[in-house]
Amino acid sequence: MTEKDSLKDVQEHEEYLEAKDSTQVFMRSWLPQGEIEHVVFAVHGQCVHSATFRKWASAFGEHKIATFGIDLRGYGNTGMPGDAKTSISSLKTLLWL
Amino acid sequence: MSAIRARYPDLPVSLLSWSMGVSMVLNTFDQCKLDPSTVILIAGRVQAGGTVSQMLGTMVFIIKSFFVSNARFDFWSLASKTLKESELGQLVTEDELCTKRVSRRMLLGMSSFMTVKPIMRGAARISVPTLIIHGEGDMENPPNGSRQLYENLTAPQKKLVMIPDMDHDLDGLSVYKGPGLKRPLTSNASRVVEEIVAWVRADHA
Repeated sequence: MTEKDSLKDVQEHEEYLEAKDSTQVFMRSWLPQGEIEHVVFAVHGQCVHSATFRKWASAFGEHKIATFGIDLRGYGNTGMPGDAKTSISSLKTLLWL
Repeated sequence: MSAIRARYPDLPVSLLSWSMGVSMVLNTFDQCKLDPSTVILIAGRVQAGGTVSQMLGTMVFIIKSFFVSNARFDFWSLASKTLKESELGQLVTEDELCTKRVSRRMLLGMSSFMTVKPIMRGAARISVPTLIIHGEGDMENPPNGSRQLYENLTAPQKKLVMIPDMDHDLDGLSVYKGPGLKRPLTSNASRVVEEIVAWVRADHA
């Protein structure tokens, strides 16, 4: 996990999680400076990625809320072309369909 | 979400989604057992079709997002794995069968835009307090979809917040870098944040 930017009341972090098919799933988190009392897992919309919640996450941090958001496949840093494992998995899925 | 729960086993975890993310979350609820503490659905596309202006609005929003947000988006990724909901299914349930079902459904249903039945079924299967927020001025996703969604919810506690003069972008949600990030939230956006914070922090027991 790497620290990214300093935002008001929260610290942004970036990391990768490994999905079942070995795809590296990119995840951002915004953690309040002090105690965490609640957690929000955020799912982004079309044509954007997890950073779209950056501004809100900063506001949530004021209320001791930590925010996490993944880049869904095909968005942001997850499932990029050139990732052999992702491509093979995608092909398998398309064939299965 | 399971990864998050493992990190914070003693804390409530709320599942928040916006726009297409709402369709994904509800499709996943239809296929899988999810266990968030609360659910927050914002400006979801849960109604097929819509007026011509709404469809045009959707196109404009997608084009705008493509250039403004600098999202890395490409045709190969669009075709691959039917993207998004599959990932959510994996991370939430780690159930491969569930993941494939959701993916196939979404592909056959032309992504998230026309799969109304499973979305409404998913809504009916939410068993935790659920908050819905939608802007009355949303030209991309019809606000009536959220009203319909609210009617279909059987959650023990539910709340629908319609915000007048609010667009789909919720006054700058997709602005996440540059000078826009420094600008304070608009009054509408602040209200959305306040509603979310109150819902997340409320004692729903």
